[in-house]
Amino acid sequence: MYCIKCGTQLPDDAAFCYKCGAKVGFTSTQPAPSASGGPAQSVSSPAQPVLAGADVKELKCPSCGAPITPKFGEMVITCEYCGSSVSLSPEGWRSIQKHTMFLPTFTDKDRVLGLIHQVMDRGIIHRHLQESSTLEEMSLTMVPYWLVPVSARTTVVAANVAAEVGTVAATGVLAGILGGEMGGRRGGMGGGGVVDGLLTGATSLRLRGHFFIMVTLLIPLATADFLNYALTEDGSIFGVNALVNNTYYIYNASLVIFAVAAVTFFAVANSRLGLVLKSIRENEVAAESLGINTSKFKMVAFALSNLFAGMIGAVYVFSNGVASPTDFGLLFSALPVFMCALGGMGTIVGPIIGTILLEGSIDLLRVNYIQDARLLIAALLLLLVLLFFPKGIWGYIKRGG
Amino acid sequence: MSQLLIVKDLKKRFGGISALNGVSFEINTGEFVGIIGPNGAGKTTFFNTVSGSLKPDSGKVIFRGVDITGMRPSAIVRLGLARTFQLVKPFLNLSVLENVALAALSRRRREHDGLSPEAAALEVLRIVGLEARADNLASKLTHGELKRLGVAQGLVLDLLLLLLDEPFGCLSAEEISIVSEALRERSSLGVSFVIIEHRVRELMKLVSRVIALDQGSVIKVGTPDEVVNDERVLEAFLGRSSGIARSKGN
Ligand SMILES: Nc1ncnc2c1ncn2[C@@H]1O[C@H](COP(=O)(O)OP(=O)(O)O)[C@@H](O)[C@H]1O
Ligand SMILES: [Mg+2]
Ligand SMILES: [Zn+2]
Ligand SMILES: [Zn+2]
Repeated sequence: MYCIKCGTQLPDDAAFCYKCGAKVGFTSTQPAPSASGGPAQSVSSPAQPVLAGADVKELKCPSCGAPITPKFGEMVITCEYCGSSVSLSPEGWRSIQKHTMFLPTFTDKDRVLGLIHQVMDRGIIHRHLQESSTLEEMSLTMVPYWLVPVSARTTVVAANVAAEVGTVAATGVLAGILGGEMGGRRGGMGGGGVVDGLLTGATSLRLRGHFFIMVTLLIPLATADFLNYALTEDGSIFGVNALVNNTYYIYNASLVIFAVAAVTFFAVANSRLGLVLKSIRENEVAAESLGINTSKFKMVAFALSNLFAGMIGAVYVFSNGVASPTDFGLLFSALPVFMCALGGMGTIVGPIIGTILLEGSIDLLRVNYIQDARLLIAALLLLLVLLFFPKGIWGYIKRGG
Repeated sequence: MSQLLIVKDLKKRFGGISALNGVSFEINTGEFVGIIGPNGAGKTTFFNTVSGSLKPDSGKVIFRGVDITGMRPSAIVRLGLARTFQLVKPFLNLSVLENVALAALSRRRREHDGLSPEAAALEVLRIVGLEARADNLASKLTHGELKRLGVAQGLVLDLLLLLLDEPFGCLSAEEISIVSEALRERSSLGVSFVIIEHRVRELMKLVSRVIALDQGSVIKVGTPDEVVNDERVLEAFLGRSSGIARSKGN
């Protein structure tokens, strides 16, 4: 079998991809959703100690019996088959790379306060937080630590995340409309979570053409980096349960969303809103001088496309089994742009053709060595298409017909 | 007569060039004003800064008592002031009707008469004589037809003040009389016009007052007769720039 996410070849009974960590099968020890419909609790098995020396070559997983081969010096190992963690017994604790049980050497209280102020001053959401804060209590907690080699996999199944993505998309639409009403005042829409589409919308509205595409590409990357940072900084990870484990449902949900999106976009394209959006695409300056508030309508377009991106994102989380900011790296962010350009931008059929072609070619390229070069291959393909069919494949067909 | 538009000491520089060098004047309600000046005098820049397409470096634009300096063009349109472009900017991949209907979405009296944008667009297309071309793509039009399309977009907005940048360029004598007639009719209904035009003879038949610009400054304001016979205006046109203007085909 192959990893559904990165295409790496895996043992047929593997539960996790050893390369990217995606859940690939449903053979795990995780209990199936209860018949009552209540959310199933996924039990994250604590690391089970096993008596074995640090240089042991082979051992058996205590929960599923699968063979485990620790790499040299590893002390906590994840079973590739069932996902449970195994830690080697104390005699193995030899390859500690670094540890401390000593108090950190802060010279005095002022230096500690200085550090805290520095952090508060740079705060991401509120800058200069320290000016409006009073220090009420200081306590010292000592956390001794050991650094040991570990190969670990954590699965995060996300249902709350999915729901959140949906809410964010809906908020995106609302805020897009509100944003228009507010005359695009940017400061007013902080809200709760990071509404990525809106963020992108507001920032790139004043840019055009290639710069616009660049920014729409860069902001998701920056957001992913930011979330990644925010998550690892305080150590918390979304912990959510699967709603469905059945690929059949996931497929059908995707199909329904796709159909609704296609019909919606077709209706929009043939409405007055569509006419306005087309005029902005053709000539923004002219549209603006005819009384069309171009920023407002670009925001509406963003909100609309993000609504569906958000909906399908919710399904994606289930199909992937893992939601992590790193999922949305360069390849994943660039692919939709490639797909549109390949099939033909500014059409509804174009991106569908582009998606089928690119997704199809990715399937064909599911070989270990090639997968790392996929972005390169996709870029080459795009370059060739743009060279010979500047309007994309569908644009070419439409003009010919 | 009340003052519809007041422009105070408008300045705009492009690098080393001073395109507008402190331009001030007023337009009254219902007035039909012409702007003349040699190429590069700053006429188009003046329209750009008044209509919101460009932000002036300094100075004020007050329309209907509202300070519109630096406002976005669509907001200024909603207040009742629009402009057409010297180089027409039609939406080439949309039909002629769609081009005008788009403008009709922002029509001033849309709520009052309940006319659909498409109906309003058709009516204006009839006025400028493009009715038969309504369903053609704009890219199929001739230069003259595109210019008339631009005027139609301006007219359908049904505004209080329309700035027209060389609407007669590329037009045949017949087309000029069609457009002039349409403008004169709107003017009689109380709409004000400011019109930049190189074809002085046709312009003088329409306007009641002329402003002459040269090198970013107003050099003369007066009736068509006064301006045409002014010493400095003649010098600006004939003495220095006429050769250049002619060689550029303007
Ligand atoms: N966007 C621009 N960038 C730089 N220079 C400009 C720009 N627009 C106009 N100019 C300059 O400003 C001057 C006035 O131009 P313009 O207003 O177009 O004149 P007119 O319409 O009277 O022929 C010219 O010297 C022109 O080169
Ligand atoms: Mg000009
Ligand atoms: Zn993988
Ligand atoms: Zn196991």
